[in-house]
Amino acid sequence: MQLVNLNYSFSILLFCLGLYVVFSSNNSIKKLLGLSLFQTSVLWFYISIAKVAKAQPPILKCLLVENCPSLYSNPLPHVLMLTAIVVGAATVSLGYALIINFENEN
Amino acid sequence: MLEEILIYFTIFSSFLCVLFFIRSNNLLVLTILNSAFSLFTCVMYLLLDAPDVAMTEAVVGVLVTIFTIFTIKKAYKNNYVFDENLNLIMLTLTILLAGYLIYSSFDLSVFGAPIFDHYYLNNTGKEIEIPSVVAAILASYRGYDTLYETLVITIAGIGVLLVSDISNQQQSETSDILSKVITRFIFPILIIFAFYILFHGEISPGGGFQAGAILAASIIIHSMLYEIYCSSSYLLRASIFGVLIYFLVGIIGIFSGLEFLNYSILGQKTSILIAEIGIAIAVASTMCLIYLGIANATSKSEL
Repeated sequence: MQLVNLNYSFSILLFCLGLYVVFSSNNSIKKLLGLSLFQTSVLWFYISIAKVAKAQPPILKCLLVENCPSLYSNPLPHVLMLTAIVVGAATVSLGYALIINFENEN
Repeated sequence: MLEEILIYFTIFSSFLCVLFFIRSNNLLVLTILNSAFSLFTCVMYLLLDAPDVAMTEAVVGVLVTIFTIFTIKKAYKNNYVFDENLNLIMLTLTILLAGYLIYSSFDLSVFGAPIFDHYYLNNTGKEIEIPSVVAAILASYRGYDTLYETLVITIAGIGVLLVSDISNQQQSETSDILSKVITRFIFPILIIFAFYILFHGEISPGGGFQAGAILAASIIIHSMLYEIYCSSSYLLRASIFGVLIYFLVGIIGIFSGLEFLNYSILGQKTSILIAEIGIAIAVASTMCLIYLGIANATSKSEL
């Protein structure tokens, strides 16, 4: 059974729902959480693209690939998304600090 | 078959989380739904063959939940509930956008097709000589990206420090015996686990980012229950020191007549390990700095 592109469709749906939360909510913390939802959808999409059916995580069984050929998933999107998650957490925290600052001024 | 069932189940549960998230008007419920969604995302990354990303998402999910709860406590005091109306026009527009994008996604390559450049998979074993391809790309092939992303994290920490005015209030020790005893047992194990992940990043999932985040999480959990005094300026120095370690590994290449971030003098393995240690120090101290900035900010009730 071939997986119909459900992963792509769901990440696109998530993208749009995150956008909806950012636009429509009037609470700043909910807005920021919606923004992180938005970010997660992009990560989800990239990781879905990297997946190879019936493959293994990209950790080599032996250093010379010719000796033990096997199928691995694409490692490059994993690296980019790994750093993006940590950077995203740091920037969301900066957003929290801004929220605390302006909520206390009002 | 089992893998497909698990993928469908994870997608269904995260979709439920998102639906309740959109309708909810309570900040604490929103935080819990967000961390549940983070859990399902983590499971999904594991199912899609990305154990490194899953590990990062698991730790970062915990940290973001802690930061969110402290922000709610500081900014809204006890007003967890707010008004929330369904914006029908916006919802229609976004669903139309979703329909359009999903229609165009039919032109993408089939899910699971091995269509990509196999350069990294074929050459990591020969050139870098470590089994974990993700660690090899992270610290060696794309070392520039990682260096400047570490710098971005440090700058975010500096931003938090500039924005929040930290009053010198000390958190008093809690009298909750149970959580204190549990933390006392868990804390050393967490620290050992962080170092294990750091030093085995080359042969298994893990590396500097995950180790730094776990280290920060353990220190934050400990400092929530026990009284630890740590100045923000020292944490800032530690964070910059971490970036500097990574930078110096790159500079060695220049002094020996090669390019910046050329690892052939120290050897790939040693250089990657030193770079990962630098990343771990930078991430851990920046996360602690952010915790200090958010948890010790002057709140509305004290003004």
